[in-house]
Amino acid sequence: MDQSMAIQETLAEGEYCIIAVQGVLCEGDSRQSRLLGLVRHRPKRGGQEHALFLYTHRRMAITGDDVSLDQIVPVSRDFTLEEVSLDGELYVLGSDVTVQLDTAELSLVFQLPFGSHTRTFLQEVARACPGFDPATPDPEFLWLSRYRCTGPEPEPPTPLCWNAPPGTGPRCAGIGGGVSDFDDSRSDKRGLPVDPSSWGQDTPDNLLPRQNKSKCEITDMVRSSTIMVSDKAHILSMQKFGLRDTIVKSRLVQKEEDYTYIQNFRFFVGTYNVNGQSPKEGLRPWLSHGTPAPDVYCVGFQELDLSKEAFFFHDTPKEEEWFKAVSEGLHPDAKYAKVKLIRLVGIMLLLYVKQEHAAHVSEVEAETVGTGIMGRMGNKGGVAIRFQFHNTSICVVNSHLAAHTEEYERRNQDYKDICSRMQFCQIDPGLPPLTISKHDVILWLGDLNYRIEELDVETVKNLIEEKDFQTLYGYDQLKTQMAAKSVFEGFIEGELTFQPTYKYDTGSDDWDTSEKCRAPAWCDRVLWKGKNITQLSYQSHMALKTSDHKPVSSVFDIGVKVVNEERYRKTLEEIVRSLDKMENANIPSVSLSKREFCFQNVKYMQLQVQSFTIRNGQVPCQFEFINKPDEKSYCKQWLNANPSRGFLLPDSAIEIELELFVNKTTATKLNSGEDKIEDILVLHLDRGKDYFLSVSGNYLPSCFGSPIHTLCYMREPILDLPLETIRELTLMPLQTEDDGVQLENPLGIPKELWMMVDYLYQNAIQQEDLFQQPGLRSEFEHIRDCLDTGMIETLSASNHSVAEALLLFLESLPEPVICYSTYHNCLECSGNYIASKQVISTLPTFHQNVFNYLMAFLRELLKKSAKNHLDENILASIFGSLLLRNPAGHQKLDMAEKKKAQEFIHLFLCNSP
Amino acid sequence: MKTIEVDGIKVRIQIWDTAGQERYQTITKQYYRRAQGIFLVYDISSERSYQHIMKWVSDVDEYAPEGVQKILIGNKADEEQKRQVGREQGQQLAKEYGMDFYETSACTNLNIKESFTRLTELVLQAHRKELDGLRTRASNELALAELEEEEGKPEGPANSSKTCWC
Repeated sequence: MDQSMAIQETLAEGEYCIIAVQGVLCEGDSRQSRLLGLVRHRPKRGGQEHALFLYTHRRMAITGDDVSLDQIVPVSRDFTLEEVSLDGELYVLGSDVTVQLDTAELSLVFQLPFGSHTRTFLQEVARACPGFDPATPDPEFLWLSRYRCTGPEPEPPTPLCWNAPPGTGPRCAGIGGGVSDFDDSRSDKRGLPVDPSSWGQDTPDNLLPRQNKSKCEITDMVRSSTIMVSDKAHILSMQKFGLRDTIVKSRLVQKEEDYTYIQNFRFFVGTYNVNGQSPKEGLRPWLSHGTPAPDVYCVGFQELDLSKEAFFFHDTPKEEEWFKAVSEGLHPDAKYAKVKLIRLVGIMLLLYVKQEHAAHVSEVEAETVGTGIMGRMGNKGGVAIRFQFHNTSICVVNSHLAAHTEEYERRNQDYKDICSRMQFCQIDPGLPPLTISKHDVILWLGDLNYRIEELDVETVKNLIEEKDFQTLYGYDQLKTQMAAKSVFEGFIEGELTFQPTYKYDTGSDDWDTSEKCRAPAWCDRVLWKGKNITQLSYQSHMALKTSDHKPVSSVFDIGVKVVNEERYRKTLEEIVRSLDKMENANIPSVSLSKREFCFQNVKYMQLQVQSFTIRNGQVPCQFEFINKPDEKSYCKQWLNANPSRGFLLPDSAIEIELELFVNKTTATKLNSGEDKIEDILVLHLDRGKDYFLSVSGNYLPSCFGSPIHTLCYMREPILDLPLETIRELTLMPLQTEDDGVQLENPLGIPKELWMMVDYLYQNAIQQEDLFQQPGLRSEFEHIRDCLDTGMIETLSASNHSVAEALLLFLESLPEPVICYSTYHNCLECSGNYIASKQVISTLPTFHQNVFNYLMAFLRELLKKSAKNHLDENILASIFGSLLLRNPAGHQKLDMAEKKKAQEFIHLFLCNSP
Repeated sequence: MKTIEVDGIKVRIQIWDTAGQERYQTITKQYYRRAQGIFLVYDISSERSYQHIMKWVSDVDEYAPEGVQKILIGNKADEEQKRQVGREQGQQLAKEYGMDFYETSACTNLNIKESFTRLTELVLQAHRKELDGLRTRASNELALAELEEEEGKPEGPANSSKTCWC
């Protein structure tokens, strides 16, 4: 019955009752039924807010009139609703899921019915919790204000009422009253509630949990567990590690043999169709025959209550009567704890374990499947409890299958329906639900209702009289159906050495004398499936006469996988370590053939290349040279890595070339020592580590890249000078003559310039296409070396190469011949020779000298224009852009500027001074 | 990467071994920024490496984030016959800087687990607040990354032995 409908009727528009569950509010001694409804509201500002509405209600709420609002608890950020497992020494009758509701203001304990509905409810509530994302606004719960002071009940506010006194704020759900003490005291014990001494007694104090654990620890545990978890499950589910956790778990399962050993436990399995009767006699003859005391009791009943009330309202006093009877009939030599009770109408299953085993029972789930009227109702069907005992998963099923001799196919179908529809929740909600067949051990008991076929009643009775059960068994439907693999495939049943358990006249051992005079049949059976199971006995118990059935029992020794804690821990550690290892192996890693690179005697405009190999490991990887912190590029300007990024397949390799090339931009600082051939490259692997590569070397200073005035002060070839002198001269400011600080008599113009010009003057004055043909790279290097070593006499190069060297020299001057500061003045007076000459005279002496010298040389060239085909325009356009350079970032001149620069030079070419 | 359990909390630590060579220091310093715990490692058979610790400490103070946890390690404790730095010297230095101190051996595994566990503990303590936030969080989205701890591990200049314990 969906009671959320009743709640919905009481709500305002825009509020929606997502799910409702009927539970018991436990406060001190009192137990009151409450309807808990999770209500959602979507405020206009967007998002959604939730609150838990608690109602008192009539027996079963069908309409809004049946419920009356007791209290509202807003689902605020500090709201928690968590399952708590009660202390191991305590026992609470009939409690299936105990949950604790906490907010900043209050703390309540509820007991909710077992089963998937409660689980869904808890999941919905968990989903409704706003979480801690600071990005989402705090819920305001303005919509609840309408309930605040207009509560449906006129009585004065009770301590746990929504009608809180003013000042507690709109988010306040009520005053804690006597329950605030709950806050820091929670039950935290794993394992089972056990208290054999308090069977059937409500001990409210049990609900006041112990005081020795902090809230966060409990939250942790509760979040990660369902009902009760053993140590192992606890450790594993403590923190959510996502995929990794799943892997650890599956590895643990694979390696189970490494840390478990088989230990036999004695299981008592009993089934009894009680025909709607109440217990009238002690059950010991059935439950406690023989010794030693079983470790586990699985006790099933059918037809517990045949009344309509039981059928329609799913509620029966018989449950407790039989539960008590069983509890009292358990073996007197041991103390037992109830693990679970599950009932579907008249089909009830009880699971007990010896007290000392309680801590090893975990992941207990129970479910029901009805196969009765319309294939769904609970008059027929099955109930099941699954649990983990030590490391073995066990499923116990109690079923009551369809009746009547001819209905064996219906029974087969019921069996199949139970198998397919019985699904248990898993701890990890991401995993698919468990089915019966997914268990190590399956114990199936019940009134399976298979009959004896073909024989008439008298023959059956005679065979029974003769105790010829073997012959009789040949006619047993379950035997023939199992042989035909129509039902219970893979299950085993022990030999039937007892007479049929159905049907007797109640209170006697006499066969049915009623009108129907049913033929005796082995309706009540126990079957099993799984490894390491030995049946020790399989019998009926004639002494019990309450019902028209006789109870059946079977005792088993079942080999259960028990965990050796030390080996378990070791295995777990190994797994974690191997996962770490695997993960580390998945971090890309490469080997470099070389990490240190020394470039010796680097010269101006002479490429040096060194290469190394990146050899990849087993993981595909992406590599890239990355910028060092606070730097704009991954290396200095004179260096280049080729390629500087790439992708490597496992086991593949790539060669990287480090290219070092000093050009006009970088030469000056290398000359001055402001820069050095020194760099560190950071080779970064995506998701991996960084490798450092060091580059070192030395640069041979050159006249290329040196300022005019510096060269003028160098009477010696630059390479004959100590580095320190070169450094000083290079850093020397330009206009020293104004300071009057004269170093030893400087040259008028750089000797290197003179050498080149003189060479051209001597050799190339009639050279056709001078300055217009490219030179040879190799000859440039030779020219550079001759200039830098002063060995001009050894210079032998083509005219074009020398001409190009001259242009490169002018281009590499850090300060152009027409100084940057004079550039705009020159452009302004281009076309005006007098003014232009005036501007030139403002240049520093060395620059004036160089300018005049070059102009004179060019004019000489023009005198031979008949031979060399040069004219003023050609020379003006070549030299204009070299001698006049835009100070704004050495950019290319725009056309207008270029033209003016040419005009400027043009004037000097046309006019002799 | 290594997973260890401290206080029942699974912690994933990411270990960085920075180059000890001096010429890389300008770069390696930048890596301190992302560390939450740092081992300062010297070699007990090298007085020089011990002397360098002071430089390391000042670098760490300058570049590592506030609240970074530090532990002083005297490694190669197995090479007793080559010892140049006394145990007391290490203890003394650690005391001066208010650090924990371990003598370890990557070869014999001496104190390796202990020192890692200790540093992780210290880091966890320093981040207790954030951790509590995580713990009480009702959401199931407790992502791996949130618990991941990163630890920088600049090794002493003379320390070339690699950890062989994992």
